[in-house]
Amino acid sequence: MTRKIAIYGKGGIGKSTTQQNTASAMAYFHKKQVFIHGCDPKADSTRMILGGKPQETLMDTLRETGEESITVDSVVKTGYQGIRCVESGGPEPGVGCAGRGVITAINLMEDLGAYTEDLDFVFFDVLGDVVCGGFAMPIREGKAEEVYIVASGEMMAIYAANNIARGMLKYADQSGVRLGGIICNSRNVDKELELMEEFTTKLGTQLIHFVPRDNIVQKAEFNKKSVIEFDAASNQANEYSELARKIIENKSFVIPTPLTMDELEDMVTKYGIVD
Amino acid sequence: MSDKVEQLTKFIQEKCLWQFLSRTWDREEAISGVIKMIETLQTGGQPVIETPIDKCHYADAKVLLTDINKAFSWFGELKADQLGEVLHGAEARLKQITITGSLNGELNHQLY
Amino acid sequence: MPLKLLKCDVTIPEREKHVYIKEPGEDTTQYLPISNAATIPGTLSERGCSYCGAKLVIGGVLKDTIQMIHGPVGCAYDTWHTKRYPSDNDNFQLKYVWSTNLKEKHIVFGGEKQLKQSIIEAFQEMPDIKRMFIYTTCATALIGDDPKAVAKAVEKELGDVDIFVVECPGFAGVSQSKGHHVLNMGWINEKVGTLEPTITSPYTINFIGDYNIQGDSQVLEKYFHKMGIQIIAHFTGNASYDDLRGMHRAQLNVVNCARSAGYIANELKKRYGIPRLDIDSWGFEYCQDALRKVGAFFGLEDKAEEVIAEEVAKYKEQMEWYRAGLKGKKVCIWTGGPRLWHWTKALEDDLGMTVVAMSSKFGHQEDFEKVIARGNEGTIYIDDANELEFFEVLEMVKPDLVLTGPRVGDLVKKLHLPYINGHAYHNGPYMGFEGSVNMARDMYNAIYSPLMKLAAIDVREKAALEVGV
Repeated sequence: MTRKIAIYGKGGIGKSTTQQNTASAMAYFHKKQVFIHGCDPKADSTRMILGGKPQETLMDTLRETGEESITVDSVVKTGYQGIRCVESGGPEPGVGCAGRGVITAINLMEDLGAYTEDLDFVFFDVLGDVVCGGFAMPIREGKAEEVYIVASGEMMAIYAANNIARGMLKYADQSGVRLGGIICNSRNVDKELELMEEFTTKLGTQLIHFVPRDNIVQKAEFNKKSVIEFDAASNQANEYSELARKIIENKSFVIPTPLTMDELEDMVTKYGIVD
Repeated sequence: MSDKVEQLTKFIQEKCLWQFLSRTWDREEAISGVIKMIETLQTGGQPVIETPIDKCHYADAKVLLTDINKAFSWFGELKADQLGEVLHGAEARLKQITITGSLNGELNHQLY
Repeated sequence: MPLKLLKCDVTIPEREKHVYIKEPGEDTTQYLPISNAATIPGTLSERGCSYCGAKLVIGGVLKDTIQMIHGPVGCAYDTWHTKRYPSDNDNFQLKYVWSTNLKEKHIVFGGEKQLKQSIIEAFQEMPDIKRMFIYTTCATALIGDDPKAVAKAVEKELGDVDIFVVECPGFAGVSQSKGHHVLNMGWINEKVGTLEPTITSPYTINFIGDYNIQGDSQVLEKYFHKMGIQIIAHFTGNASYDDLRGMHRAQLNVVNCARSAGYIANELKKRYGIPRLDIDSWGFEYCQDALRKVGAFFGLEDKAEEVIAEEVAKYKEQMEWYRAGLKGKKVCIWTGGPRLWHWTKALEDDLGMTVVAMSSKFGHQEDFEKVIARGNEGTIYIDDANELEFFEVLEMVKPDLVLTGPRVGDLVKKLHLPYINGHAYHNGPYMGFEGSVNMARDMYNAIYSPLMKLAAIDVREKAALEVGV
């Protein structure tokens, strides 16, 4: 059974970095077959897996050669540890409809049978927030069954995570999608762990893993590699392995209970965070 | 003999839809299947019908054979080896026109 | 130079690749017009949208199904009952049209609530109807509404309804053709095999690619029933929703319109091993071949001959009478795609007419392979023709009659040339033996009627008398 996972989170939070490192750890340490479908119009969800190779996106191919000529081979690239990658891509900023691009790309991949039976995990790496119906496509019925939200101990990240949980509510009912947990990508701010624990408890979910801040992540990124490929023996690689293991073994799938604005404000005041 | 191959090819091109099925593999199966069935029927053999697809080729071949015999008086007079030559010649021509030489850009799509 | 740039196309030279005039000794390995490609900017295409291909052509035919169109109201009217496909249950599908009638606020806030409300209202208003098709349109597909989820929720809530969702907005493909494709694949993936049909005969078929235009399906059904053959499902003429869920149980798929429904026949072969027998169900001679083939498949040759003998005896004389009047008349066939290859030789062999020009709105190259193989030398073959090309071709070939749809038909009328509605017919059915006679009669009446000659005449003047009124 392939498990399909959607990763959401505020823009700039390190969502794509976390996702690629987790996928790499799944493949390297846990021998899983992984597929990454990048659903961000920026098309930066797979560069560390593919060694920075500028990947022709599905939308590029669609625009240039038309739908009929798209095949799995022409748009799916294989990278580190056999991880298969496709980037939806999308229009230039400020034009067209990126949400429709996400819908079209996922439909095309399904029609072509790109999500094959042998896969253990398919990751949909989605834009920062669920801004319109198109960006909810990955959590429609028959698509991702689990969502993980990447956050950190900053006000705006908490707000965004809460908002995503609100967006999920409607789909939790319609498609059965569940929240698997919050991943904290630490920014090294005070009382970050305590804040995240309180937030996740109130949300009715778990803090599935606290990923500490480590410069090796950026260093690996400069080298167009995941931490695992860059240095599998490093402590940070071990952290991602832990996160991967926890996701693989996860049994906690819930419908989130988002906080009200007042509750959020109170929590932020309590921890005295000023962003 | 090549003149007869051309006459028969043109006749089948005008008359039959099975040579124009959607994909290469469908066209190959149909052209080979129907031509083989025609040869068997014309030489008085017992057609081999093991699958529903064979039965379909038989139905197409049976009706086509009647039409061929009506259109070409020479067809019934061919000896067995000549018949084989004409039929296989037409089969090769049909495959050339509708498969190998076809300009139809959709023939090799893996999906329908 | 058989690919031809018409005079009117000098400013859009790309059109050359879509226009072909066949010369002696040529076959389709040398020249095959580009088709099923995006319409070229600058050409005034006669094509419809992809949603229309799904709704108007295939889905809307079903006789016991609500057709809920999720979008602004125009999408509903423009695909409603212009095709004239009756049913044996008092034309339920032609009498009503359903739309969620979306407005600005639904686009901003999402249309799913409105969709759900409309579905429930429609079922309440029509309590005898328990089946529904939902179509997305451009607007609702763009905002990412999820009609499948809504349909599922309603199915659960109401308990006794079954809903099929077609997600094919107008912009999904280059023409209607994409809508045929999406509906075919959706149906085989989601609905075929979900209901077991009642088998009443040892001989079972699906009749695929016939939409009961003015009663076509009912004519064909008569022949098959006389042969003792059960039609499990017509895809989709006069069909009920549940018939089509049982398509997997037929022993044979008899395919007429391979363009709009070849996909489901191919998939039924791939998934269930049901063979695909392509036939022409128009044409006096073709029809005999078709019945003989089906007869041979089931070992019912004698039954087929009985039906043929009976029908030929009934209509042969009329065909011959019309043949005398139509012989040598020049005709253009400007329809969707398949009717080109179904009709060209039928009109020539049955009636002695000459087909001088053919044009297809949404045919693929497969259709052009068929039509060029069957068509004449010197005939003009065009893909996705535009208005000016039609006028130029009329000038070149000077036909006595044009078989086309009402859009192009109205152009033709301006030149005082008779046209017959090739999509929805004038006085059909046109399929089968009696249909061939009907078609011959309509063509004869169109050509010999003084109507067009009178069209530009002031009837108060003496000239009117001279044309014989």
